Amino acid sequence: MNNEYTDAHRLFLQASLSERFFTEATAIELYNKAYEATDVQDPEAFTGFIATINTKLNTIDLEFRKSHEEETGTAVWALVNTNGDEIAKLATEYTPIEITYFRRLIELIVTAEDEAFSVSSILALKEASKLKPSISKSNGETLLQRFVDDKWLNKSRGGIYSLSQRTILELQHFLKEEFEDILLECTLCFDIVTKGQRCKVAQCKARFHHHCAHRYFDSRNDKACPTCKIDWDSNIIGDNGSSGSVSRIRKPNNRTMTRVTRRFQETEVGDNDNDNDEMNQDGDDGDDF
Amino acid sequence: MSSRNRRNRIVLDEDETEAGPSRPTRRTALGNEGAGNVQKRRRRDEEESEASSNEGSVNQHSTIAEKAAQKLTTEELERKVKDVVRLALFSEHRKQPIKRDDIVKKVLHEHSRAFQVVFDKAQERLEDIFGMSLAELPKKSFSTGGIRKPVGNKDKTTKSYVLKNILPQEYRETDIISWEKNNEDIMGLLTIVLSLIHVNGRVLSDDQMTHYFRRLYLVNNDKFDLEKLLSTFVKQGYLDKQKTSRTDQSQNSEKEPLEYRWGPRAKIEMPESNLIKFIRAIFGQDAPPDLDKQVERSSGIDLT
Ligand SMILES: [Zn+2]
Ligand SMILES: [Zn+2]
Repeated sequence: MNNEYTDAHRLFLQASLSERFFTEATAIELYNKAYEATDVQDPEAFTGFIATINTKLNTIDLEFRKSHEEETGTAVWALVNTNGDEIAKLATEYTPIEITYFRRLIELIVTAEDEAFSVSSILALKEASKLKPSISKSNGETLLQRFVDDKWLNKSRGGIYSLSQRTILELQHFLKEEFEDILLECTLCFDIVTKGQRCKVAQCKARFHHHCAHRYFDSRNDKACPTCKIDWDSNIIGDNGSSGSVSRIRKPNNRTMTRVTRRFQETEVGDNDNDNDEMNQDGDDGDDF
Repeated sequence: MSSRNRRNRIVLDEDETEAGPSRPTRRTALGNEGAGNVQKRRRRDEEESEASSNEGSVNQHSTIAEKAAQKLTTEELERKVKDVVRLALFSEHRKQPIKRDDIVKKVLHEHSRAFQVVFDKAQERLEDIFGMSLAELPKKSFSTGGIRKPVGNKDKTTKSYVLKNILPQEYRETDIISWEKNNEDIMGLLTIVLSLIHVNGRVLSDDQMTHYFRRLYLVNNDKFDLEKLLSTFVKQGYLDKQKTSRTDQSQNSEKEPLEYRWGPRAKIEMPESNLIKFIRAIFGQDAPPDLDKQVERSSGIDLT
């Protein structure tokens, strides 16, 4: 297999720099165009093409990662940071107070009761008023809309906010570190799940993305839960109409919070020893089922 | 065309058999360790051969930088090169030039003397991975009238850089990089603004700008807020905005008269040939015969 790094790879990268998050269909279209434009002989297949690019990107702590849109199962790609350093924060187009607000929203969403993984606009705006300096209602509304427009948050028709796939992908490292005991993993694909189904059996830990559940159950006759083997019957994970309002008891403990806060306050760019953790985490992400 | 389709199909087939989403990522993450080492080793070799071949022409400046860089371990140097590349990318994402000071403050710290070594290596990396390089912004140009006093420092350089695409021109003319209609429209407007400034003698007053835009039915248009757009272009370095020095603008005395020129980023980034094509398309027969020369003069870019 040829994995020479060509202008087609460079052109693809240049094109993705402005957007950084797109569907796989778009990625393949870009990939085709990149080869058409450069007329490189003997093109790589798409998967190898991305792998070749990632080898280069890894030298500067960036990477293309694939995931699936939780609601639709659509394959998406994002250009993500593999370290959470100070320079990466420059990428966000937000002021420090806006970033603080975003972090509070993430916390509200992730800690929402009953695996709702969402927050109502009323609660979200209330949180804005609690900040110091506080964010007014109208500014809060504008900012929330910006988070949605920039694809960091999803907003349902009922005005309920939840994590976007971009956030799940790009802030994976941060999410896992801050909320490691709260976040749920899909039993089938091992990715974070904030919208999907859970086994009706209270003690059972089975959690599925909707698309993963379909893929799993469509291919077999018995409808038993793969974890507890009891007949499958599901509850909804995520915004199920009753927006998550009260935070769950399993709050991040103080130790975790302090560590995270400290990391956010760091000003030293060079000082980052999380890379190895990130590597290990990636290595643990199994995907065979 | 048919081979293209075939490629597409192969891609999709491969994808179907893939067990889960994180697999390609993990494969490269694992594979990378080896590749990274190989690359590092190769880079060190290059360095050595470069150093020996350049020995005769090494100037004092780079000697100081090399000495300063030697105080860094290979890992530290690698980290700093990486951070400069990342800083350049993120600044570009926000359309802000990257300043030498930023590099020193955010990356080099007490190793500021190693700037040239780190910067050169970051350049190499940007060229290799992205086909882009950091270009220094030209100094502001002023009309030759001599009325305006030259602003700012006496340095020959601005020490501010933006990323420039260095892939062959013909790749750039494909539509691969335009993402959404909206962005395309805005870049189209920028081309119009720059063209108007150019054909108007490289400077355009606020009033003239509004006038042209009214003629193009772009004022009070729902889609564009002209004021906001112009200030964005100024912020991004595509336009320079200055107070008019002329005193004969008696009408409209309330508003401070302003004028626009090409900004430093426009001179570096604007696809010159597109601009000439664009002006030709708009002016048709009326296009000045020495258009290329004029653009060259106004933009300071050598088109030949
Ligand atoms: Zn899943
Ligand atoms: Zn179960």
